[in-house]
Amino acid sequence: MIMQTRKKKRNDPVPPLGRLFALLTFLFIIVLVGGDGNLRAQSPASGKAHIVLSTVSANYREGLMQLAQEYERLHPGVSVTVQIQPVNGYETWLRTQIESKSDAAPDIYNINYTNGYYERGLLVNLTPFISAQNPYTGKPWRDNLDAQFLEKYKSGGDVATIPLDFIEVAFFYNKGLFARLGLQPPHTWEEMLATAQKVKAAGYIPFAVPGDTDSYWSGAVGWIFRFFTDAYMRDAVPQVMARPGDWDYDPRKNADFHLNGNDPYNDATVVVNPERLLLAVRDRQFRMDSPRFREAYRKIAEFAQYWQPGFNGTSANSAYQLFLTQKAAMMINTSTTIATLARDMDDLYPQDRFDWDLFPIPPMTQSAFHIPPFRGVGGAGVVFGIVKKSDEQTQRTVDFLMYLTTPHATQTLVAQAVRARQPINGPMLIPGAQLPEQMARRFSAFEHRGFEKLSFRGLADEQESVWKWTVWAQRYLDGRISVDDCLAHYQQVMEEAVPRVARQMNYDLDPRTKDPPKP
Amino acid sequence: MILAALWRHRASYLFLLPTFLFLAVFNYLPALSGLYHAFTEWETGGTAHWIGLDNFRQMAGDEFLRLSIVNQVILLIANLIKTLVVPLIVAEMLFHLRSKRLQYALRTTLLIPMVVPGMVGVLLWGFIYDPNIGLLNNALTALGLKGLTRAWLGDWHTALPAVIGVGFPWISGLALLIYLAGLIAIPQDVLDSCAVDGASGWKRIWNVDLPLLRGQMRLLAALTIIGTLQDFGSLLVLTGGGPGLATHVPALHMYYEAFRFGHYGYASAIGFVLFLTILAFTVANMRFARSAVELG
Amino acid sequence: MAVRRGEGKTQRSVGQTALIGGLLVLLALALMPFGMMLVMSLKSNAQIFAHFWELPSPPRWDFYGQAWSALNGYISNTLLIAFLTVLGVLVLSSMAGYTFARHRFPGREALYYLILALMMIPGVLTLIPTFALVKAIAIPEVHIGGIIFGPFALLNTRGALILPYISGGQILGILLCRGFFQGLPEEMFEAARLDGAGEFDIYRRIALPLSKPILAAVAITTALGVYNDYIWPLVAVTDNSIQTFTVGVTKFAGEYNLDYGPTLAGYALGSLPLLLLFALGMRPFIQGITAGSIKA
Repeated sequence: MIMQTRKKKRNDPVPPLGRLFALLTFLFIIVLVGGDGNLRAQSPASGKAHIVLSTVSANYREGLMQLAQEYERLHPGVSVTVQIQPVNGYETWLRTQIESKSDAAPDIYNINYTNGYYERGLLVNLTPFISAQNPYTGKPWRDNLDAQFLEKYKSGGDVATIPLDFIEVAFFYNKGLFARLGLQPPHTWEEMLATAQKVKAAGYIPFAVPGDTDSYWSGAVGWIFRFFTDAYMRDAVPQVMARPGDWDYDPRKNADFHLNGNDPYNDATVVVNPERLLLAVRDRQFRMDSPRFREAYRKIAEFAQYWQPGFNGTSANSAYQLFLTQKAAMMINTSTTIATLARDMDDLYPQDRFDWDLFPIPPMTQSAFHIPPFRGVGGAGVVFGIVKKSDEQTQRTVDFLMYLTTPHATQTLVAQAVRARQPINGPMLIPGAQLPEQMARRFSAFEHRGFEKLSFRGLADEQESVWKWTVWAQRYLDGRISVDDCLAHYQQVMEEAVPRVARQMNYDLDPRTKDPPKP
Repeated sequence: MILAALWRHRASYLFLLPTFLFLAVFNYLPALSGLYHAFTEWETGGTAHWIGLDNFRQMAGDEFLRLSIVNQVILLIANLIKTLVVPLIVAEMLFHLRSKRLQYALRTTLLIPMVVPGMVGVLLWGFIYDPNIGLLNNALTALGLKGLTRAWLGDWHTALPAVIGVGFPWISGLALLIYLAGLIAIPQDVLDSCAVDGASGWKRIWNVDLPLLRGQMRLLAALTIIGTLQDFGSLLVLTGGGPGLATHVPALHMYYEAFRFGHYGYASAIGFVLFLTILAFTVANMRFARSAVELG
Repeated sequence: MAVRRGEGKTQRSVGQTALIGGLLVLLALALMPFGMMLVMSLKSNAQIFAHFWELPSPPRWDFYGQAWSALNGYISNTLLIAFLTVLGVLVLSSMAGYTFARHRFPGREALYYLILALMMIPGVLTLIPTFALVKAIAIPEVHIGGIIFGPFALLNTRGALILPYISGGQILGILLCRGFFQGLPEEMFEAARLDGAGEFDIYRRIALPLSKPILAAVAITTALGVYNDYIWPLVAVTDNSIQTFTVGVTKFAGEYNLDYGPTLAGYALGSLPLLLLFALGMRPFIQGITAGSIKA
């Protein structure tokens, strides 16, 4: 208790405002140190002919740099810069550079990191150039590009991106173990299950499959459900494809469509109207508790018997390790894993190494619904697009891109990546490129798979429905609930998700009107 | 007149100004906002509008949330046992050591696990539980118990027990320090009179130590309850709530609803109920706590 | 209890041996995961697969190099954030704690209890509103005389972490500082006032230097809290270059998906700062906890 009996003039109780100010300045500095606040002046544009390729595909660094140098030698007046960016922050950086039309913006980049840029007019329409002659091959550019993928990645009918490679899934198997057990890679799904049974009898885990929540969405179990439901729902495509009067109806694609189970690319160009799909779920035209889904889910459960115990909590790494340590005979994995597996195999002690190979997802031959062979669930890996700048710059950049998509360039990219022990996404999409023989053989398991069209996990990509479906599917595959219980709840999850998705995507659920995306 | 008084003490208020500025912006505002938004419908990218008790009605019907509550109760009981019992036993053991130097050395080394960041500890245990190269399964195999090996975090029977097992042998450094401080604070004459009365060993522990440590136990119980009800970071990293919902808890549900599905209003309602629960426990704890301790 | 050196064959000595033995076993169990971490961090995958139980041969010290280059950004980030946070917390807590302890002004008790009440508000309630708040603190681009300021957004910056940490950390700090300052004798302040020193000078020249012990305890507790926090950096920061260690290490553990050695080396490296912190500040930390818990 302080008795302030004496008050002197000098007894100034107020801390000098200066100190308070200092404190606040200090706090302000904290904020600035951490903050994004910056002072910058606009940099003047440089005049030299310059092409900038900015990519996150660090595995192709050496190849791209060599190609850049080769191109500069061919065109002395042009300089090419290859920038390898880390994935984190790439999207933000791209957006700030391109949207501000800064001159430091790249010319070529992985356009899958910026959604909607072509629609907003920020990227070059490559369609006219596709028919133009590629000076480095002497033929039209489209002749050394993969037609199916080019078509698939079109934006509203225009070519906006050139895919260079793609990623797909297949089964990896332990060749040494198979040989010891007298087994051959299977050609049908039923054969595969019989093989699995023999593996199990010999005391090994037939399949190493990760089943944690991530896996149901973007990993192995997700792929399995996708190619299964895609196969079972192929007949349903006509029900939800765009019809005359719909905003996305394209007579060239949808008018003459006939189902053909033998052609995996049969419906590749058919346009499915997303609102029709939602309506089909809402109005119970598509039912998750239908006989088709029932058989599909039961087949998956039958397959799951041969997965390692506790798969529903196993991560992708853990499953991969089971295969690498020869505890599991097979695994389902992406083409990117080939390089990883080769590298890891080299790192093992010689006595722990083993011979391995791949087989494609085998078709199912015994089904009440005669389902067609399973199709691919992959997509393009590296997709390059060109930023719209001046016409002159566009010409220059297109020329460079044409150079990058020659068979020679592809071989360079692959060879350099292999030499640098870098991973490769998967098969390259440039026909005519010669790959090392073993690689080409392994990649063949991924090719000509087609693309999935109607596959179901959650509703569209809505995360809440995906998670809820995951919980029910996990319980079902664990054997804790019946297939009917699972599917009944699944149906409920999907129906409840329809209004949420409609709200998220700003759909009015009228297929004839195009609904602008939410700002 | 009040204004004059305020002006006279303006130094004090100025000293407190920065503190309250921070608290107002980063503590009071979010707290009130959280309480308010529990009664709104608020989706990501949208504006919040009042819907009264609808969020709570939805919570009552949320099957996944209900199941997560069961897990939470189990975890709570387990954590209370872990925090209250094990460090107490170890503190008693340390307390009974003759050599003070040994006591100091052992106490310090037992605190070493505190040096490891919490998240690292969790990841390490995830590694220990790995079915292939984890310490647990390899140890079981080496001991000839291969049949007991399993995917600890993947099998829905063992997932929750495995989560509880993290941190074995559960000697929480903080609890140990608190208990030890409490034991050392027991007046010497109390201990002497016990020795004279012939009450030694277990009798003394039961009749004297435990009652005297009641304050510490209540403090630790409160901290444990508050911590357990709120902690979902470790679960997010270890299992993500899986397999299925085997390790799902309400706080994790709240996190998913907000940051994965974008239902901020609904998530706030879950947070609100968690807050009420914690408040109820804290109040109950305070009522029974007494800082003065009677020596009988 | 008289301290008597145990002598070989007395019953007390056997009891002591049993105690020491038991404690050593517990110590071994407690330290086992970390021992495993250190040993396995030097083994390549091949070694782990083939020879799980053997010592690393050759020991792969380069794994520490790999882990360091991947994690040093996160670690130094976290240290910077912790440093600035501790600075802020020390300044604010000591000022406010001193004011509450030694000043008298209207509303002193009320304001203090308002602050204490904040300790009861759990993180779950404020997580979402704080996130929304931080997201809302943003200024668009401003052109002043040819220079472009901003755009500035608090989300995804170090400030988004530091400011709430300071605000939250000062609460416990105020509690501890106030308790400490209350214990100081009145005379030294009286003398200073008689000499005509201003309030701020009294705080700066007398109170502050005396409070070094409690400031050390506050600093350590705050630093520990910042280093260990996981959820807030996870949601508030997406840019890897300013991310903290706990979030960074979970990403690292996920990315280095196949190399266990570097992952474990990363865990060990992340523990180094805390190890240093404890080595330097063990004593005041224990004192602080001990003193605080007795008052509970």
